[in-house]
Amino acid sequence: MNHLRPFVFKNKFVCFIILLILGMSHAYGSEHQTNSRHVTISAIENEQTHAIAKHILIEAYKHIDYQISFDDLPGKRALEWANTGLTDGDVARIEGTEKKFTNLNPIKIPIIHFQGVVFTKKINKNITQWNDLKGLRIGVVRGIRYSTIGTEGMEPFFANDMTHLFSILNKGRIEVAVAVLDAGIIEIEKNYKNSGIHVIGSPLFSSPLYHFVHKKNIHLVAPLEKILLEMTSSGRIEKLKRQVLNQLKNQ
Amino acid sequence: MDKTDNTHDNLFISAFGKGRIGRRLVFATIIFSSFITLLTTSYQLYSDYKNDIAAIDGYFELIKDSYLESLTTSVWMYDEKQISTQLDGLIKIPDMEHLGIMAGDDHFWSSGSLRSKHKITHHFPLVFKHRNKEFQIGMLSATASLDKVYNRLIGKAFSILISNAVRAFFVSCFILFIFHLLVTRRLIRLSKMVENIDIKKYPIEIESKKSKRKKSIDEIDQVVYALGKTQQKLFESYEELKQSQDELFQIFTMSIDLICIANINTLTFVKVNPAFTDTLGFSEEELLSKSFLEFIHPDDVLATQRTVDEDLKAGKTVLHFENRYICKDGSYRWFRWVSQPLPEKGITYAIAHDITDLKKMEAQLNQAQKLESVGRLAGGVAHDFNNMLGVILGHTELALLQADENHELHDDLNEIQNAAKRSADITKQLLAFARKQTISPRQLDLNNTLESMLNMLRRLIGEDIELIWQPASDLWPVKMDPSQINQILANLCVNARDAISGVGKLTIETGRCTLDQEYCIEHPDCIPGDFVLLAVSDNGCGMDKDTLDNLFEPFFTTKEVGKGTGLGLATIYGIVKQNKGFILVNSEPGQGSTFKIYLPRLVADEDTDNCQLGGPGLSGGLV
Repeated sequence: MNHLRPFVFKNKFVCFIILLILGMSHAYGSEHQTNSRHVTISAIENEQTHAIAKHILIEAYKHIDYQISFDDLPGKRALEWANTGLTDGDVARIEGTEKKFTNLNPIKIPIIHFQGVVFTKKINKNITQWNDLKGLRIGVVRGIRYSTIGTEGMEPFFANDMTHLFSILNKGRIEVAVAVLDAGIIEIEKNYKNSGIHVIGSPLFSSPLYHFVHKKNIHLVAPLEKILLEMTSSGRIEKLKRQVLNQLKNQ
Repeated sequence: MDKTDNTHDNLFISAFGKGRIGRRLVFATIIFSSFITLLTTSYQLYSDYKNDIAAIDGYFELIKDSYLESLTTSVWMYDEKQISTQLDGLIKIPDMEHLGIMAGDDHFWSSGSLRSKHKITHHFPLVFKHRNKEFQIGMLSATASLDKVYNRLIGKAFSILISNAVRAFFVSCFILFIFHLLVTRRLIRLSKMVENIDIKKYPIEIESKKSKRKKSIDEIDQVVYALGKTQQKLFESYEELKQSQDELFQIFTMSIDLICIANINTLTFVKVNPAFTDTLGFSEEELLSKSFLEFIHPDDVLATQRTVDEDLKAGKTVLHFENRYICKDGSYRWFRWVSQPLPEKGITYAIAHDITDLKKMEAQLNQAQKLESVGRLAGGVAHDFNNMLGVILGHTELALLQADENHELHDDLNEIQNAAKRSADITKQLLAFARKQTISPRQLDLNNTLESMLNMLRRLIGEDIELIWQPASDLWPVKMDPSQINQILANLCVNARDAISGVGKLTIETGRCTLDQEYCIEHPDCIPGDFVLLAVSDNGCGMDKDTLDNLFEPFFTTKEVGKGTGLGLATIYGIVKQNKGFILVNSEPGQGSTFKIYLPRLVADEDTDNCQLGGPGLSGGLV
């Protein structure tokens, strides 16, 4: 009667899993709560924009006397974890993210601006809007909301990260890749200098990126807004951005 | 089709007919075969089921070992296309019906659909290791259909059962055919031959048709041999039984004792032998139609009923039980019973011996002993009394010599003398009864002696009574004192006269008679030998049984007081006994009386003729 066994233990197993998840989240949360002046922020792994933003946040949190660490995750999972509270927030997302991920609160001072552009190796087409991508084999990074929304209905290939995206673009698996301009330039500079990969057309999307904290950290919103406003006003953010870009290009 | 084929077919049909061994054998074979088929099929199906389940478990293990990690990675990455691709690949695994991945509340991917009624579902947690920690990022639910397994098993079971049924049918037919050839055909032939066995005839050979090819002896041959032996023993037993039955039947029918089988519950005869009907005079139907209590003397019914209830119904053997049964002529006969009951069957076997004559002999013996003892007493007293009477008479005569007629004592002395003489007469009769009478026996021709007495007898009986004298010719002589003949006849004629009121008839006849042993057995008073018969008959009032029983007792009389001494017949009895003869009396109330006096023949020649009476109408009756 082996076929009955799963049914017999189904409820127990589900209970066990729920308890395990609760236990793990509790343990994970407990880890973060052991030090009340420390936060772990989700970040998209191998994503250059987030790499720049990380440095800005390190300094901002330092100003409000918080230690910050980052959990590099796939793009979508980074956002999911931040929303579910597994991390304390997300490094940087576009405006409106809080409408779908309702547990996240934006710090309403942009920490970085980005431009979503189209990279290609062989396509020679003037692409100025999302519809221009129709009919092409498109690649985007999974979890990047603007490109996901923009290419909806075009059956894009979702790459795990920027490295993955440019790898398959270089191999010709996709014809065009939608990515952040700065991150793409860095990727080309680092790995595909002579590959022929280049930017075509004008940016399809341009938006400031905001830092998000989980609602449990809502007390950080005001001090962070204050310090980020100061850093923006003082040009500290722009300075850090340039420094990091240079570092990334030189790595 | 010839007769042989017909017979063969009939045998085959009868071998497979209802209740026949062949049919039962086939039925048992099919039942057993079906049972074994079911058992083996069940085991096989169970084994297949286990294998199929094990295979499905193997598929689950395959998913767990080979696909779970890549699926986990895809889910980690939220790579929906990859997830769908992997699920679509996994759904092609045999019997896999549905695969679903639940990652949080918002993310669910699935492949296939849940259609089956019976299924197995395994859940695999998707655990991803990140920063040296394991996170369960979702749950894979894999569901395999058991309906396909069951359908396969049902199809297989159907196939196995059909094939086994066909096989069982042909095997059963073959077994039936072989069994018919080897067993039932021979058994039927054997049974028909056994049916024709007549145990009254000498044993016949039971099975003569034996295959020439067959050399060994099988079980049926042994049965045939045993039946032959049994037939032989049966025949011998029958012969013995028949002989025994014949002997018992002869004993039953020829026995002079009464043999019967009686029902002790209904108290009726079940079977009686001819001696019963011969002795009692009733037919067998009459005896069997009534309760046997109805044939028993009323005085014996209670004792008989008690014996049946207390002894026979308790299973006790009854020995020497006596009772009386009525005969058809109204008389009763004494029987002495031996009875062996079988209470469980409610019957008893009984043999009755007719002891009526014995009873009579006993009564007569008692009477004789009584008379003998009375005679001895009377004789002793009479002898002494006679001596004293001699003294009285002597002295009375002497006294009369001294006292003439004028003497005042003369009349008194005469009275004394007369009384003494009458007393002497009585004493003389008592002495005669006691056989102590002084006699002078001599050879007599009874006819001559009687003829000389006829005139005296006619005067004695009077004119109203006719005296018929019927002397027999060639009468044997007897040796006797003539005065005793005189005493006998005088007493008998006086009694006859007194028994006849008014006109009557008195017959005196003589005859000669030879009594053999057989006659004497039936008449205990008699002695075998040649006798001269003196019979005196009258047509008077006759006597009842009580009178007959006490007839010869001294001083017993039916006459009025003063008219008889009661010594007449006692004197006759004594005289006859003194002369070694005997008396038979035949009398019934209103029918007159006959006294037959048998006097032994004086042996002068060896004549052995049977009884020859001088006149008609007289035949001896025994008292």
